[in-house]
Amino acid sequence: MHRTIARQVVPFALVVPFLSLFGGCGTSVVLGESVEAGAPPSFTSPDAGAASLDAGLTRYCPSNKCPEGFTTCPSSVFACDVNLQTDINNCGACGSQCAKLQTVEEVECVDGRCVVVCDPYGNMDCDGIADNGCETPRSDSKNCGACGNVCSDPERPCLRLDDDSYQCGCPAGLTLCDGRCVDLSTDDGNCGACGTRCASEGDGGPRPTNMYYGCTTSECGHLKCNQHTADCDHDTETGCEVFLGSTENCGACGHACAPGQGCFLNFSGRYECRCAEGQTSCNGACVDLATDANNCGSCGYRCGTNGICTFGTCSRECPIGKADCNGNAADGCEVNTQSDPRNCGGCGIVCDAIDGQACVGGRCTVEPCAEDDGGTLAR
Amino acid sequence: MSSGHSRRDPVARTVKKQALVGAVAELDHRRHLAPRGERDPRKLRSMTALGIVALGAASIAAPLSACATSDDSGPSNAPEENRALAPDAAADAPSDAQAESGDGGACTDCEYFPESCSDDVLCHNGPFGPGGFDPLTQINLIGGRAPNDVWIAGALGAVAHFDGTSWLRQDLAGGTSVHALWLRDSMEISFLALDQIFGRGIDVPDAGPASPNGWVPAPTSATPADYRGGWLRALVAGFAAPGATWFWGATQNVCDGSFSCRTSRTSGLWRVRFEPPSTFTISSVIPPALCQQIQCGDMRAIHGSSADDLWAVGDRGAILRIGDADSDTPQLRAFNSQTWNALYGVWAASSSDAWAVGKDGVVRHYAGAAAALWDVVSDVPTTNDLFAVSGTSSSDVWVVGDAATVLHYDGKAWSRIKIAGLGARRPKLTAVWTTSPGHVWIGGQGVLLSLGGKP
Repeated sequence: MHRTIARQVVPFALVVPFLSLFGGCGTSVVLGESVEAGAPPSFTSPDAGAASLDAGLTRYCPSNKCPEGFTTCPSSVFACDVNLQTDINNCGACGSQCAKLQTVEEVECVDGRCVVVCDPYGNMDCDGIADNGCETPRSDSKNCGACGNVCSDPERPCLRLDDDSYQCGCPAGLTLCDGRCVDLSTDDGNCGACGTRCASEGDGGPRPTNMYYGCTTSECGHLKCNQHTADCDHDTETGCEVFLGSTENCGACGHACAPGQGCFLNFSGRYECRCAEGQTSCNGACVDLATDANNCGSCGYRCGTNGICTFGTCSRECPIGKADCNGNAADGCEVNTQSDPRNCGGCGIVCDAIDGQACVGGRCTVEPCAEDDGGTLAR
Repeated sequence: MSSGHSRRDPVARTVKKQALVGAVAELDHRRHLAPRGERDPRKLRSMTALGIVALGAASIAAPLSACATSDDSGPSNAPEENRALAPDAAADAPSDAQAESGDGGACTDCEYFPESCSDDVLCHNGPFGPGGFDPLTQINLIGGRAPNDVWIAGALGAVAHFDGTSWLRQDLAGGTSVHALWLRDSMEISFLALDQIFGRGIDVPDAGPASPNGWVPAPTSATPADYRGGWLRALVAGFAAPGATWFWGATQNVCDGSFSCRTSRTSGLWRVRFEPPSTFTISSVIPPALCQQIQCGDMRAIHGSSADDLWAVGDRGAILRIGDADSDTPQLRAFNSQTWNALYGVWAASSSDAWAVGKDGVVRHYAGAAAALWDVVSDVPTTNDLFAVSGTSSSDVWVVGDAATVLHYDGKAWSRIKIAGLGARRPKLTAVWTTSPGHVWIGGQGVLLSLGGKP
């Protein structure tokens, strides 16, 4: 099950005490300087005063100061590369690490505070108390699938459904039998009522090929086909004469596979023709050689880390904020284009308009120009 | 004539522009390209010449030292544009280069992309267009035995032959991508990987009916334990000189999360021999530990002026010379390329003249010096990635690369060669092969070109 992006965030008080500003090295090197929080640069602020242009816009000049929220910490690789609002190792202040819990919850830094993030499919934080994290299971009858969703009817307890969701009682048309939601009209083990199991041999008489006596219309004693067989000729005397795992009858009567395809069980337990047109069988799996990064152009040809496959050819696609500036496979996307002032926003883009100009968020830092700098110098 | 000395880049880069973050604003924002530090040999510290080692079954004659570290690999100054793998507009792109700007303004490189074909301009000539290859097809290699016996191969089964007059598709069945081609006297061998081979003119028992174009899968009788040891390898390119017994393949390590793979990249060079009547044998030639000492784990291209004298290039500026390459005991010597950038293509004009190209417009030249050192070529008029090189002599060198870049060196200076009929497209060019001065084939993403559109 994939995790969604939206997650429940719980303020978290377990913050490691503020560490020393500089580490244990004998000589500390100041890579830049942090600034106190202040009004962020604005394009329209009337307070820009003399820095404003006639058009009401603000002129910006290169800066060697970190923008609001960013700073240079002793652990920094580049100047201004720490976002105190989101850095789990410098949350709110340099060295202020968010301690990891001994539970399944994750810890993140949000707005400069360490918070616990609840798994969208795991426990929830229903009591609002930060220190006990995500304390409430989704199967809780008072918080069934969501905080405050109470299952008040004892006959309709909180149940986990096939799609991993939770709700009070079974879906419409199904009945709760021994903890499972079943269809009483067809379930051979709960036919017409919970616990009523049909005798597959019926009254002991002869049974047609591949057939047994089971539950239909809430009654036992009706002939039914064994799994993966079908009565394709609608003649009970010949029983369920067709096996549904053949290329001539794959999954259904008369459903033939195309030449070159085989009939295989899928993950749902049903037979299906494989591989579909445009796909190739690689070690039993159907893949598209044009796009599969693990079988790019041929079975087993892998594009590797950060590799993508486009029309049967591998290429490397770096994550946002990273880049491959030397072309070497071993170090992959080796450059941090968010913070590296020599590769700011892309390979070879250098922040050198003034000494100490930093790179933040893939942009060389700027600030409103001073009144007398003519728009060319930083304050 | 030989095949396989052109290649393509399997790790093209995509650079994504980032949004403005936090309080960082940009009005008078200035961006400055870095100096091409990697081209400056002074910035590379003591990349010393290396020793010679006996390969094959014999043990290493002498340990080799790795290239010394560089204090500054140098910021590259590749342009920031997104580098899409596929042609952005494919075959139905507007024919007018002006369309690139989108607003009717002039494109910045219009002078290199005229609409009309002429004798000194590269023009379309090949199996693209109606009934031809898909315009997304990348040509991985071009090679041939003669001007009227030229082959191209590429992505998803794309194979074609030129008989001196026209191109005829010879696609592989199953739509598989070809990374190397071995043109033997009466046999063509396509390599998907060194152990995934299709052949024409070969009689493979129990292979079933050949594809309509005569290709049949050919078995490999043996694979060295270290070829499949621990992790996979991806074939990138290959080469065999005419009449050679061995076909050499350049491979890359594919780690898939293996820590050992990431830290101990093993051999990027292997060779394959045809075992009559129908099988192939892969042979290990470099002991795994050697590539932890020198850069030979991720190789990109290989070419030689004879069967016994090959050059191979690859990641981190690796350049290796393979002597006695067709013998039982090949000799390997590592050379200093004066770059840490990946090298993507190599071409040897003679035993004393070879060229290599790579990332960010890197070009290196070997002029026969006794020292294990290649010269920096500093007057290359591009910073685009360069993927392949070929020519007929040191005064007739062709280089192709990213964004429809084609360069020619006449022995004195480099010039940018024009391409007609591309419209707004600027496809990556990945393969080049010359038959004689003034006659060149160039292939890439959705294109095959020749001067004046003539063979």
